[in-house]
Parts: sequence; structure tokens; C-alpha cells
Amino acid sequence: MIALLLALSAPAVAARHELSFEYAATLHGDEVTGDVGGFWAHDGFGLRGGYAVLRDRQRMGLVITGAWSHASRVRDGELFDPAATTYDGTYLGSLEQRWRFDTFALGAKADLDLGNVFYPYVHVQAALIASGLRLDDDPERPGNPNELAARALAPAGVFTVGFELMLPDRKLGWPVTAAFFFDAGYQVAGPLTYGDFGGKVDLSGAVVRTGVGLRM
Amino acid sequence: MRPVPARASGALALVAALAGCDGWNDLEGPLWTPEAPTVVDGHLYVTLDRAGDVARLSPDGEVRILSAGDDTEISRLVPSPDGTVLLAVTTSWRCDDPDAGGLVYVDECGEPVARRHVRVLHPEGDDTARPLGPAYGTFAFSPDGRFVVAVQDGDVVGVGDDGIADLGAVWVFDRRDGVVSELPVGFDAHRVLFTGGDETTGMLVLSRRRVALVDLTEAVPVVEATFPLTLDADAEVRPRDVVLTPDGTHALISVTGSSDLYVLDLVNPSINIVSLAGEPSRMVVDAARDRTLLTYARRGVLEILSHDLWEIRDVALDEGAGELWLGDGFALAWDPDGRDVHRIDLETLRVTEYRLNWAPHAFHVAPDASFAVALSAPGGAGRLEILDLRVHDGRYHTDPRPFALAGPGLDVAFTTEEAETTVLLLQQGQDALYALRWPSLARSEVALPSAPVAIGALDGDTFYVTHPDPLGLVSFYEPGEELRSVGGFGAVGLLDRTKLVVDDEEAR
Repeated sequence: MIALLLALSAPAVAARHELSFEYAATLHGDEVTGDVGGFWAHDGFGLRGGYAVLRDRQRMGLVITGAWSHASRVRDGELFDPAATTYDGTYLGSLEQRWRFDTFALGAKADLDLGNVFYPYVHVQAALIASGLRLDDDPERPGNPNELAARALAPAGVFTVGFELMLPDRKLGWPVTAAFFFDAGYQVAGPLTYGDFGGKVDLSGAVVRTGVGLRM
Repeated sequence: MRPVPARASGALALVAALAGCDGWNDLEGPLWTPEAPTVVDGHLYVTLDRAGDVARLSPDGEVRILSAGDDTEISRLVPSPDGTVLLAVTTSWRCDDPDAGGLVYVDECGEPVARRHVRVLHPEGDDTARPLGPAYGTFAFSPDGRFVVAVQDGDVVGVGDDGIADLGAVWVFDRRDGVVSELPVGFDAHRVLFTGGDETTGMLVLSRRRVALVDLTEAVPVVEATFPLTLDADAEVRPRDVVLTPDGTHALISVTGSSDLYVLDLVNPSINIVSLAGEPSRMVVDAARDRTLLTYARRGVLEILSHDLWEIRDVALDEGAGELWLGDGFALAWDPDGRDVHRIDLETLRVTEYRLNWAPHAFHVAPDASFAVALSAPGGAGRLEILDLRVHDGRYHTDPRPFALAGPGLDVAFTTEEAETTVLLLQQGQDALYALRWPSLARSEVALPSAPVAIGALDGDTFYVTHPDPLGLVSFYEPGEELRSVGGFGAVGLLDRTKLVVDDEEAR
């Protein structure tokens, strides 16, 4: 109890500039990616940076963030004919799919300094999802006429709640310190339509992110 | 949608390797059907089965996608015999699930109800969707292209909106007047033969135990006469084949599992029964000599039925013949399970026997009837034999010319240039189109982008070759010109989901 009071009463340097390496997973449950690609979630890696706009002796901090994350899925879709009456008649060939999702986000993160170690925060982002889908029904033969590609763009909004664990730089006297973060929340996204491939892929769903980085 | 540059493919492959290939998944197909394209007015039409649309492919490489809407699938194409009209059978869905409120897509509904329509895809201009009942599956165009009749093919797809499907009717569409009607003709109506010559005036509809003569000259078709094929209520009589005498006054009807041939007098409605050697495999009318030729798969005989006295004359064959082809002055009879090909002179009835080295799985007669091509695959090896059908100083060269192929022959087409006819041949597993000229037997080949499935004539001297590539691939070949391929159309609408039809007047 005394330690907590001492921690809360100590001078706080809540917001810091930051650079982090991030792992993110989105659980969207989209029917199109599930039916065609056989996946209802995707994960990947990225980078997150932040510029502190409120710092020094503020327990509450505000950081303007920018982030990029990349996820991909490479699937081998085996086409089958549900109406075939013989075993040999069911297999129709395979379709290699290469899905790509790049998310570019700009946001704001508000955190609270608790003892220079634990920093709970809320994070709100506006994002743009750039996706691509490449199809190839004969990947063993590069340059075949059926190497196809299409792109899609969609806006998104992300809200997450999380925390950071930081090495106590003030006590250690370090100008730069390391931190681990974890947050989870929800992403609302517009539909992704892939040109002639069609579709309305909806990547709205739960988001989970974690990572490590530097705080300055 | 655009093709991927080769350099980008390599870079992407590296990224994918780092990201890891995540495995495989089942994907319901097919995306398109390469075995059954449709040719109409010099264009090739293929159904995009997954997307529910149609791709129209042109020899110049143009691809045009024809769609009936996000909530409708084009499930079938019906071309007219003269290749100028194309109909599409479409299916749309509504949801009868009582808990279906708010659903948008068919695959979300537990109890989707199908509605079928027929639309005119070509020529363009007629956007009317004409209702089609769930039991109709086989279509027939009248020779003049005015009438389209649908009969039931046994695969009843649901019972429609009102929960009842009439299994004793045919569907008739008068394209000139735009009128659609359903006409009761009898249970299991499965075959139609139009009557009337240059202008269709009527039709015969074969159903179980009866034949209906329908008058198509009225505003709404009416059954003019019904011919019962049996008076015994316990007897099962299913008509199999029907031909019309050249003067249009009589119809000859064979019956499944019976040696009876029903001769229907269409002018003075009556039935005469002629006894045959067995159930005929083929019936072909020899209009020039006003008689009908009948062959039998299991009997070595060709029967010739005169149309004046209904008398039969037998022509002995060495073995049964399930197939019959009629040319100018002679006929060919052969059986897919046998090796004999019989040439019958239609004037003298003299039989000349050709003996193939292997039983054929395909047999094609050249357009000028100077030779025939037999494809076989003994033990999986591809074989081609050419039969010389010409007369050489009053004699026939009855020994076939045999050829070995790199793979079993798949399909052939013919093209004629100057004095030679060229056989265009596809072989299984071979990425080439092979050409064999007759009578010089000169050979050449054209490389194809992928293994082929089927070949056919588009118009004039232009041919199409389809390939089994899942994303779609068709090649167009014209002798003397560079091969042109069109692909990728199978991916159109790959990610689309079919929507439910929303009725404004009732809740889903």
C-alpha cells in the first residue's frame, strides 16, 4: 500500500517516443476467405512508431502513432466437383492463392504511468488496408497464361486496450529503454473487392497485438 | 485483373517462402466447364459455374462476361441448331427459413427455394425472364428456330414456389410471339419431334405409354391427338426413338426393350405395329429412297423398312452394329464394341466390310465422306486408323491405315483446303494440335499452351481448343495463322457469393 502511494506520488514521465516491432492477429471470420482461401483469421508482423506529444511530469501521456503490418496467406486450393459420381471425377485441379494484407494506420495512444514499469493504455487508429490476391493454376510453370492478380483497398478503424511493461529507465538512468506491449480490441473495416475476382471481403473482427521495442 | 510480370512473381515467391505456405483447402468447383462449350454466331460461350455467369470468347482474344445479376446464376446454355440463338437457363433463390430475417446470401439460408427462368442471351435485346418449372431439363429447338420445348429429364430439382410440380407436362416457348405455356401430354414426356417442314406446324411428344400430337399453329398449343401405345394398364411402354417419314404423314417409334415398331398415321390417326428383329439401336431415314434403315447392337442385320407397304428387307452383317451413318449413296454401320465397319451401298445393298485392328472409342466420317477416322486406345496406347471410303476402279481398299499416337486420341475436327482434307487431332496429355492430311498423309503439329480437352469448329476455318486449366483457357486455331489463347476467365466472380432474391411483397 505504501509502495503504491509512493509510486503514484512520484514524478511521472508518461509518454515517450517509441519504435516497436509488432506481431498482430486479426480474427475476422470472413465467409469469402473462409470458403475460397480456407482461413478465417490472419496474422503477421509489422512496425509501430510513436511521437510523444505529452511528456515530462505528466502521469497521463499521449502518443501519435503510425504503424504498418503485413500478413499473407499462401494456400493451395484443391478444386473438387461435389456432383462427381466417381472418385477420379472429384478432383478438378488445384488453384494456388497468395493473399496479402498490408495495413497502414495512424492513431493516438493515451497511457498512464504506474511506477515507471506498468503503462496501461487505450489506442485508437484510422487505417487503410491494401490487399492483393494472386492466382495461379499451374505454379510449376512460370509464365503460364493464368497467372492473375487483383488488388483491393478498404478503410478501417481500430480500437484496442492494452498495456506496456517497461524497464524502469528513470531508476536505471537510461536515456533509452526497452518495453513489451500487448493489446486487444476490435477492427471495423470496409469491404475489399478484388476487381474481376469480385467478392466483398470483410476484415472486421477481433484484433490482438503484441511486440517489443524501444522507448525514448 | 491483370497478368503478373515475371520479376514480380519471383519476388513474391521469396516473400511467400518467408511467410510460409500455409497448406491446402478444399475449394468447390468447377470454375468453368471445358468439355462443353457452346458455339453461337462465331463466338464461344462457356458457363462460369462458380460465379453463375457466362463468358463469351472471341477468336480475336476478346472476353465478355454476361451476367444475369448478383442474385441469379446462369446454370445452362441452350443453343439453337443453326447456331444463331442462345438461351440461358437461370436460377435465383429466395429463403423460406422462418428465422431468415436479414439474410443476404444463399449460403446463409437453411432452406433456399430455387426459381428457374429462361432468358435469351443472343441475340441481345430481349431481357424477359420466362418462368421455367423445376422438372424440365432437356430442351429442343424447332428447325425454324421459332419454338423451344422443354421436357422433363428425371432430375426434379425441387417443386417450385407452390409446392407442386406437374410431371405430365411440357414447356413450350414461342419465340416469335413471346408466349410461354405448359401443356399436359402425359407422364415422363422425354422426347420431341417437330413436324411441318420449313415452317414448324406441330410436334410429337413421346411420354410413357403414349404419344401426343400437338398443334403449334394456334395461339396456345393444343393436343390434337393422343396415340396410346398400349391398352393394358399394367404394361410399361417407354418410347425410345422417333423419326418422321419424308412426307411427314407417318411417325416411326421404337420402344425400349421391345421389337415392336409403332407406325403412327398422323393424317388419319391410327397405329400400325411392325415386328422388328429386336430393339433397334439406330433408326435413320433414307429420304431419297423413302425408307428407314434400322441397325441392332446385338444382331448382325440391317433392316430396311419401306414407307409404302411397311415391308422389311434384311441385309446381313457380320456382327451387330450399334451406330449408323448415312451419306450420299451409301451408309456406314459399326459398333463401338466391335471391329467391323460395314459399308452398305444404298442402291444395290451390297455390303463391303472393313476390319479395324482395334475396337474404336470414337468414329468420325470426313465431311466429303472420302474417308473415316477411328480412334482407339488398346491397353491405354493411342491408335488412329483411317478407312478409305473411295471407290478405286470399282473396288474398295478395305484395309485400314493404322497409326500410333503419343497418347489416346481425344477429339478430332476436319478442315478442307484445295484438294485435301486435314484431320485435326488432340491426344491425351500432349500439348499439341496434330494435323494429318488426306490423302497425302502429310503430318504437322502446332504447339498448345496446355494439354487439351476438346476441339470444335467455330466458323469457317477457325477452330477452338479447350484446356482443363481451372482458371480457364481456350485456344483459337486457324490454318496458316498464329495460335491465339485466351485465359483467366474462370477467375471472374470467384469471390462472389450469390444473393437471395428479395420479394417486395412478402418477407423473406
